Amino acid sequence: MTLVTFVLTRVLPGSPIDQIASPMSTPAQRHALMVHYGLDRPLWEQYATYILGIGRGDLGTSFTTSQPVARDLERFFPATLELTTTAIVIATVIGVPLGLCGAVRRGSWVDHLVRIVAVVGVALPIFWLSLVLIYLMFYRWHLLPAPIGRLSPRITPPRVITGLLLIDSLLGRDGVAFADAAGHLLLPVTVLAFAAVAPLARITRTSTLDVLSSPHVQVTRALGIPWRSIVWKYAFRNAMLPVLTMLAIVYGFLLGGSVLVETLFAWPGLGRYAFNAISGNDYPAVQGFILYATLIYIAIFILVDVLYAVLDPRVQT
Amino acid sequence: MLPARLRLALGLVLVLFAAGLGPAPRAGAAPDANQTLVVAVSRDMQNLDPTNASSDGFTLETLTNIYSWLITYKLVRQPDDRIIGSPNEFTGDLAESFRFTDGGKKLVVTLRRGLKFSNGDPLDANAVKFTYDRLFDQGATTAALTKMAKVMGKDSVRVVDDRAVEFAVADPNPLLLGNMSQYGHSILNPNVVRPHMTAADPSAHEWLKSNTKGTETGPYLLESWQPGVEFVFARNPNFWGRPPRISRVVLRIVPDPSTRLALLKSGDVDIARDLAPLDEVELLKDQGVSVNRFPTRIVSFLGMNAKVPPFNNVKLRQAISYAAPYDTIVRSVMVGFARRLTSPVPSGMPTHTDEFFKYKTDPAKAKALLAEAGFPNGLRLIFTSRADLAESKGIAIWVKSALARAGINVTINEMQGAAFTAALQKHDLVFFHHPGWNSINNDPFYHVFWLLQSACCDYTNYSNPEIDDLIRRFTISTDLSARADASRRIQQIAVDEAAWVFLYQPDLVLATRKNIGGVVYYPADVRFRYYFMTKE
Repeated sequence: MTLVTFVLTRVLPGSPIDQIASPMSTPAQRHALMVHYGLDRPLWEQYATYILGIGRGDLGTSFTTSQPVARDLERFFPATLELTTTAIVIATVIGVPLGLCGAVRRGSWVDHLVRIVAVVGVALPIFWLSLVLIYLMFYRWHLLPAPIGRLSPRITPPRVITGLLLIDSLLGRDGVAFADAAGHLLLPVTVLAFAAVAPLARITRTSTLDVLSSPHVQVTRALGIPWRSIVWKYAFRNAMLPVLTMLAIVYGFLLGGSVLVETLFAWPGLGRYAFNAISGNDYPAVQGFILYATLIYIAIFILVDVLYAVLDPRVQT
Repeated sequence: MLPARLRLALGLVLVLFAAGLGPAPRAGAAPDANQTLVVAVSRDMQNLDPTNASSDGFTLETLTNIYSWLITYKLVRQPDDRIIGSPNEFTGDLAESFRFTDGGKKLVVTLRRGLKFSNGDPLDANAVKFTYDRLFDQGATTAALTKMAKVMGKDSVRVVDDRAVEFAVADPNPLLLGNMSQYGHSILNPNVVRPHMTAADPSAHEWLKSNTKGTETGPYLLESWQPGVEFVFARNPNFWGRPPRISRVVLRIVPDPSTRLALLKSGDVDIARDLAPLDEVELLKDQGVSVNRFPTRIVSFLGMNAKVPPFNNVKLRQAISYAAPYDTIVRSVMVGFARRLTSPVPSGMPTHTDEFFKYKTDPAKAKALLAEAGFPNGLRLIFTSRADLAESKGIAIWVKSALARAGINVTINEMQGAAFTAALQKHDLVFFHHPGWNSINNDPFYHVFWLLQSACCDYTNYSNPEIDDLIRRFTISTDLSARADASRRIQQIAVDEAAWVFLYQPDLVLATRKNIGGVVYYPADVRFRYYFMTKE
């Protein structure tokens, strides 16, 4: 994996030196910079240095921010974590019950609503929805603060404990910062949650319908067990398995950085970090980001596997 | 009926949403609001080492606001009552005075009394010597520019006494003051920088790239820098001059241009940078916003690689120059925020002349020249534009349609910024739009040396033996009238041979809220100084 990213970043046209050197520098000065950053070494040697560095927890130094990549990731991660976790919680709290109701009362208005949400959520581009919401909620109606990051420039950020502003401001008993952070979160979270509700509601509905029409549920119905306890006791847990997988995919995807939303809301998260790194040919930063995204996916899927074992006794060996 | 637990969950969600709907804090709420300026910028700074800085705008703006150098541009009142930093008149900055002696072979600079770095350390002649020793040892861009003005190395810089430094000038020349009046000559604090000099990094480049603490000399110091989020300037308590009126400048990175526009219109920021020209036109109608426009000496042109067929053919370059849509580009792409470029030496630079310029959009003439060039049936060309610049994309489209009328079939090839810059600097681009070059020294020979002769920046590989000879003979000449004649001759040849397709000089635009005053323009380096700004 690290080898693939390493090669891919090198194959891209351009070099980080073009970004940091003055246009007036001579080839000799450029070469001096290449030597300074070790970019004149053979590729295998650069790769070996990189891998050895990873072993020590050193992901290299970013060309664009001049900071160690590991520290950059650490600094940009909380913004993305706060944004996506809030969004995924809200999407789950809305999407799963919606899908469930749709399946249980098939053909009712809830069911239609689920289908509309699923289609609209997939069809509406995120950037369009973001711009419309910014225009209405901030620019026209002044209901929400300006989309410039996580806090208004005049608010003193709470002392960093977790990096999550909502939690840090609560721990610091700073109501002003909490309200400001929540206000800034609201729009991007709404947009992301809206996009995530669609797949969650759809898969909840489908899988619940599948389970409800499966033989074991038919048998429980034949036995005369009350409908409500069939749904909650026998169907729900089974139906949740594919939902959990979908949840993991969506969450991993969002945590990997949602470039569009982070750009439109000037959100200092990993999506934007990665985007800047790619457009600036910042090799170490791109490699570090991909490594991080891979680890996040692995971590989430391990977690899902554990939850599977809890939900589904058949998985236990 | 929804299950009870579900109702509870939905209720919780509503509460969460409502919690965010409290009154949003607005600009002007804090007690010190009049002292703080909030600026929405498009991108981050990169490499703050003054002598080897990256060339992006916000890096250079930061250096200009937090460092001082010995000599700077003199403020003059223009006929229209606006004050500008004159690009051709110089005054002391850290220097109390400076004078040439020995027929221009020595420049003696005397520092102001009691100068201090931001951390309180005294700034004396030894700090100046340290700065120039480091600059020459490093041998990067600033060293090259200093040598260009014939201050040849460490031995040319001598400490006279505590406050006086003498620069030996190998050949007296008109370039030195202009080459010294810029961020590369920021005086550094030896006590702060020296500990970061190591065997592997003898110029402390790694540290200076992202740190300035204790070595600032300008009106502001860099209070904080969160990469990707914001950078903040605060008053430098040890600045030698009157303190700046604005005590803090918060530069918030807002990558999306329409978000920056909305923030300015709503008053949530005081200044929005790098707006799209169309948005700037729109802002002219906004009562709450001032759109400050300044003419620049930035040259923007179509490059045609003179070493690559068919562009080695002068007639073909002339044919394209008669086919290009000049007025359309200024009117539609730049929406009027630009003026025509009529010579390699831009208007506003001494010795500029437009008397040799003969090109206008004339498809018939272009076709005739095309036939003379040996392409009676037209030809196909590939045109490279930058995918990340709106004006570059617009120009590509207009060039394609205008050249089609002369029988030239153009295919547009868009390149991402990093790849474009790399190809440009290798002189690999064949037919392309150069978005703009600014010569920080307002001198025609400085300018044509870089763009028409130097190994780095003659991006089109254009060369003409007579021009080469004139540049060699007159760049450091002190015979100003012969120099002016030579500059006119260079312009005549370059225009006649269609070295480039001369397009436009863009305006520099700064959109601020109405209550922001003191926007002082420096045509030489086109950087804004927050030092002069006020907020009522």
